Parts: sequence; C-alpha cells; structure tokens
Amino acid sequence: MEREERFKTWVKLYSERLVRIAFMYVKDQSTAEDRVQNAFIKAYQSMHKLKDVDNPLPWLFRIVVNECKSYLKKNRREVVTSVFSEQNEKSAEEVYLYQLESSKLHNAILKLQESYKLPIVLYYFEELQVQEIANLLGVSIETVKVRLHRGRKRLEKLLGGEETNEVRRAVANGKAI
Amino acid sequence: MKLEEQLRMAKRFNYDNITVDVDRFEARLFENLSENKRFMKGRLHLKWKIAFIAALGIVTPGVVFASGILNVQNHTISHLKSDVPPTSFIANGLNNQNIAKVYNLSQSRAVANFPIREPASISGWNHENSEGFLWKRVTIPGKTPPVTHTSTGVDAYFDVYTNSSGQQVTVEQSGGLDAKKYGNNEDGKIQFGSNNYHADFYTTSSGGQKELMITVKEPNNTLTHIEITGDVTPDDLQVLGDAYITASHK
Repeated sequence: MEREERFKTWVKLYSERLVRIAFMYVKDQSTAEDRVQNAFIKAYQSMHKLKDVDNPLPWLFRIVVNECKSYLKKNRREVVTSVFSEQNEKSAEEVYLYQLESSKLHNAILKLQESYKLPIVLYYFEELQVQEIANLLGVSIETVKVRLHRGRKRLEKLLGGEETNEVRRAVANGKAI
Repeated sequence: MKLEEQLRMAKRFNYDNITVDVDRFEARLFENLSENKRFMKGRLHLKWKIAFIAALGIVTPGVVFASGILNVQNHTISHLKSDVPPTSFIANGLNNQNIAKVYNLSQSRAVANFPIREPASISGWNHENSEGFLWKRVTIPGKTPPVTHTSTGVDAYFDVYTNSSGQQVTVEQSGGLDAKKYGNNEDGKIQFGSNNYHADFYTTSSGGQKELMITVKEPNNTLTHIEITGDVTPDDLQVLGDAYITASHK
C-alpha cells in the first residue's frame, strides 16, 4: 500500500479514538481535535520510522499523548474541572441515573493523575489488553496492573464516602490526584 | 453500583459519545498537511543538508553526473518524500480538494511572487502538461469567530515531462522566501556560489524515486525552488535541471 493511501486509512480508522484519548487530557473537544490534527501531521512526517505499519495504533496513541502533554505544559493556566453536564436530558429514570453516575465518574477520571488516568482509559474505554497497554506505555505488565489498581482506588475515593480531606481539596482546586 | 459497572456506563454514556465528523476532520487534516508541506520546504532543504553533513561517513556518493551546467551535490537519505504523485496530481486539477485555483503559464506568471522558468524544449523529453496551483485555504472549524484563510497568487507551478520510454518527471517551482534568511552558509544556511544557485541530488539507498532540488537566489534577493522528481537516472534529472537554470523566465 502506498504511503499516502495507508495514512488516509489510518485517519479514517483511528481519528475518533485518538480524539477521545486527547479529550481525556485537554478536556475540550475542539482542542482535542486540534491536538490530533497536529499528531497526525507529525505521524505523517515520521511514518518511515514505524516498524509495524500494520499495527500503528500504539504508536499513534503515543504521539497523541505526547502532543497533549506538551500542549498542557504550554497552557497550564487552563483548568477545566467538569466537562460533562450532570443534567443530561431524561429519557427514562434509570438511564438518567446511569448518565448522572457515569458523568460523575467520567469527570473523576479526568481528574486522575496521568500515570493512573491513561491505563484506566486504555483498559476500560479502549478495551486494550494489559500487555498492549504495557507495550504502549513502555512499562511492565505488573506496573500496569498496579496502576490500574491504584487508579480504581483513587476513583472510588473521588466518588464515594471514603473521600478524604486531601481528595476533597484536590477536587475543589481542580487538581489531579 | 460497583465501580466496574460505573466504568462501563461511563464508556457508554460519555466516552463513546465523543464523536468526530471524520470526513470534515480528514479534509481539514489534509489541508493542514498540504500547508505544512509547503511551509516545511524551505526548512526541509536545510534539514537534509544538515543530515547530509552529519551522515557524510555513511553516504555513498556513487552517482556520477554527466557534465552539465549544474554543480550537483549528492545525498543519500533514508527516505524521499513522494507526497506529490506527479501525473495524478496534475490530472486531478480542480478535483483535488486541496486546490483552490489552477492557472496557465501566463496567468501564473502574472500573479506569482517568484519567477517561473519554462524551457522552450528539452532534448529527449516531451512536455506533457503544465499548471500553476493555489492551494485552498479553508475555514477552520471550531474557531470563534471562524477563521477563513484567503490568499492570492500561485503557490507552485508544475510541469510534467515524459521520455520515449514512458518515464515521467515532475518539475515543481515555488518560492518567494527571503534569501537573507536562508543563505549564505552561516548557521547551516544554503551556500550559494557566484552563479547564485545551489543544487542537491537526493536518492534513497533502495533506489526508485529521485529528486534534484535546485535553489536559486534571484536578483531581488528571494529564493526560488525548482524540484525535479522522477524514477529516472540522475543524468536525466540533470539534463532537465540544466534546461531550467538556463530557461527564460519572468
């Protein structure tokens, strides 16, 4: 497959997933799309460096994450604490409650520090295997498991009655925990 | 509700609801990419030059050029850009989503900010097609207020040639950059000789597509790039390069 053709296929297949990952960092759809645009341009320029062209997703994830990190470094002042409305339109009561809960959880994930947030997102939302996450992050399988465990614990704290003063302060200040 | 269940719900109701208009996203990306390529051209040249100097130890200058006007420097690089398939690009013309306007030679010369060279004829090569392009600038979605880039002029002028064996070569002319910023060999800038041009030949170790890139320092202190690309011999490229260097231009 020609280079350009291959690249177009990647754009079609992975844009949405990459924007979702970017969103978990920058917390704004338009900014997330901008970051992924930049990431794709970088990917295009360095496509020749990719060894496994049939499995570009981990590589693209890494480029997007790095792009988001460097964007956040340059834009430290912008802090968005909540991006999903908790007043979603009611269809049925149960759905409404689910949506309410899931919005809280999603916003809590956004507040996690990066070392926990990315494994949680990749495992539960992108449905990658632990081995794949380990390869993507360049860490061991055990490290991924530990981060998933700790990430879950922090989420429970953020959401539940075990909330500590530290967590409350972090949430109030919009900080990662 | 257990956390695992909540996570599944969060995926369903929030994460998976982040959707992207992929067609619009793709169109915007290729627009950005096309602009990025144009922007990079001036720099690319310097980058390759630096890479060449750094890689002198492993470069194989195994190409011998026919004696011609151009004094060509040989570079072997890891890859050669092949982002502009010559014939299809020209043939697509206005159908290409990145192109806003197409001009013929006289129209291009009237609006371009660089001189366009056009040899009357080149021995062994048949002139197939020739057009000037203005890349499209689009409204950037999500910006408030919407930003619409507009531009006039010609971004690049293309010629396509074929020889009797059916091989094709594209010549792309672009320019207008300030020569002071890119010449004359301080801090990695281009070294111009007394004839005010610099020529670099690029090929990959695996062969195939090759490129002769000529940078001309114009009398008004602007730079013009002439990029001659094709899967032909280095001597073929030099014949075309010599013809362009000596061709009449506005």
